[in-house]
Amino acid sequence: MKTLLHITALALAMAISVPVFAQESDASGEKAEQSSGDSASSEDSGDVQVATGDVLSQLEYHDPLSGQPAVRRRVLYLPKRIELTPSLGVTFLQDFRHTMTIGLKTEYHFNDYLSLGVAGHFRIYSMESGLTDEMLGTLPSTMSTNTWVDPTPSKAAMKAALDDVGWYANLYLAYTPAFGKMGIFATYFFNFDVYFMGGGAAVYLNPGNLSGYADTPDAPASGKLHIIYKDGYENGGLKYGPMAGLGIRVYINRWIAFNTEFRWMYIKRNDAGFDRTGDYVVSQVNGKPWLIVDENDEAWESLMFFHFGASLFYPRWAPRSE
Amino acid sequence: MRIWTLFLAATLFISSNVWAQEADEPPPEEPAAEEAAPPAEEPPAAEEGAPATEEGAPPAEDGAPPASGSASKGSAAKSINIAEGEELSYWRDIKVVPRKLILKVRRFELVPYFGVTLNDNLIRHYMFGGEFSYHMSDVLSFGIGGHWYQFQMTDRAYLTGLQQRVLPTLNKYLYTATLNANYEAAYGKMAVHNKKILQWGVFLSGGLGVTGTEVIPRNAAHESWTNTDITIQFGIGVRVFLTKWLTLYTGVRNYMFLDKFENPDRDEPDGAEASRNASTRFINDITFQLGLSVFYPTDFEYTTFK
Repeated sequence: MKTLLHITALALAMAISVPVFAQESDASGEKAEQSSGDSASSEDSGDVQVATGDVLSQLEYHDPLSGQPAVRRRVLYLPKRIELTPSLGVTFLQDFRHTMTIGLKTEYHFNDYLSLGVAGHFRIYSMESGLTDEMLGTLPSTMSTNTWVDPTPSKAAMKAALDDVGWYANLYLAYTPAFGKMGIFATYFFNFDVYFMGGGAAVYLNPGNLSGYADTPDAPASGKLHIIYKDGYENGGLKYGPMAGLGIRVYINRWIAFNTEFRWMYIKRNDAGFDRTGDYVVSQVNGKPWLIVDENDEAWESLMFFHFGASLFYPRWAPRSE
Repeated sequence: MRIWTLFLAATLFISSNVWAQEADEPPPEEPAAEEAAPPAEEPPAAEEGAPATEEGAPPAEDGAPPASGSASKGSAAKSINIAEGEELSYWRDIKVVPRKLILKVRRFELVPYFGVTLNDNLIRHYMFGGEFSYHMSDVLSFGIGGHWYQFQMTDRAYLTGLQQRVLPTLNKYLYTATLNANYEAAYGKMAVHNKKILQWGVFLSGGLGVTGTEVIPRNAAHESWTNTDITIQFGIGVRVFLTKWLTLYTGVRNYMFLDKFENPDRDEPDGAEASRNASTRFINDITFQLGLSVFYPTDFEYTTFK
């Protein structure tokens, strides 16, 4: 009987102690999980039950990769680094003139994802677009002597009226959500990241100049276009608007990357340099109308650039993550 | 005997609580015991020399002493602690060069897409179409693709008549169909916020087919006519795998053909006659396309070992 009591006491002690063991083990597991990162969801964890004889021990195991970074020991190319990128730019989808630019952007990367940047580019070369070439092939070399009846501009007048990008500057925030590795022809492997930009743009447009091709209401002339630039307006000057863009950096080493980006700016302009609204003034001399070219002839248009450059990072050393 | 039995019971009761209190301590610097536990469907490799215990319990590391309070088989609990500094079998199982996340070989791909022409300032075309292809290997696929166009005159088409006093000669596109070969020249992986890993690939595309166009007469009283032009397609595309069978597709493709336009000196209203006097021009129809692609079978099997 005494032996039976002793065995009962022993079994009771084990019965009490084992659930405590299991509960505390679970708590330990959760604590370990939290200490190593985000806690795993119950779906990610695998429950393993271990039965030994009449004792049931329930141990919970978690997916060790759950909540962990996708990439460990990666090179931290961006955090707390300054990026300088000299680049060449070329316009995209312009109606009349394509412009090549050269410039520099500077960005400070606060962390892996966010940076503040400023960029400026200046025109180095312009060329006519396909549409301009088509028009020049159609337009006459000289204007009609009676431009009241046929106000078609000459080739030279059409070209002289066009504006041209002089320079542009951007202030923006850049967001870098993704990075990765790429292999080209399964031979060359590079790290890269992609980013998006948003901010503001200031664009200076070199104005067209039709002074040699237009008369004035006070001095009508034959063989001239009858248009006036109201209040000295020409289709140039400083324009402001929003900008957005995206880009990719392909890293050659820890401090040099090949950078390609697309920048879109939205500004009001009158790139053709002619009237589009039909407003006019009547000459006091001959009572005929002169078309007015002013800000009302501007419209919101997209100015798009591709940039190709080399990004240089400072400090040159980029550490690795944990 | 009675004293001995009571002492044993008390010791067991106390020791189990001591064990539990120790488990409450912060985990060591090395990954916790749970991290040593491989997923049940991926037992550790046999060459690791760490025989798995029963019921999928974590294997004991070589030479790893049992932790305090742990018990062997048949005891109340199994040890899940390992010695500090011990390499974990789970990490040993991760290869230096992992396999591709997703394979495309011997799978069909259907790509419905939407697109827009990029390089015509006067007339813009939106396109709706698709491509169906079969992946002979992981990098090479052959397929048939096509789309219909919906045209839209731009502001500039109107303004050229108003500002420069010229009427443009324009054709609208009707359709394009091509047989294509696609070669994946580059691939990679990217991590979004260092959390989600996505596989992507860049492919070059070439093809041959036809494009239908229709003349838009400058004079509304004149008849139009249609052209069927042999077309060469060349482009580049990117697909990003969202799942094993669904990808986001985007690409730029150039459809090149010789097209017939209205003669600038046309004065005959008859379309057939005007077609004979048409002027021919080489066209680069550069398009931007965006769509989703679906792979079938929706799953795949690796053909090689890890």
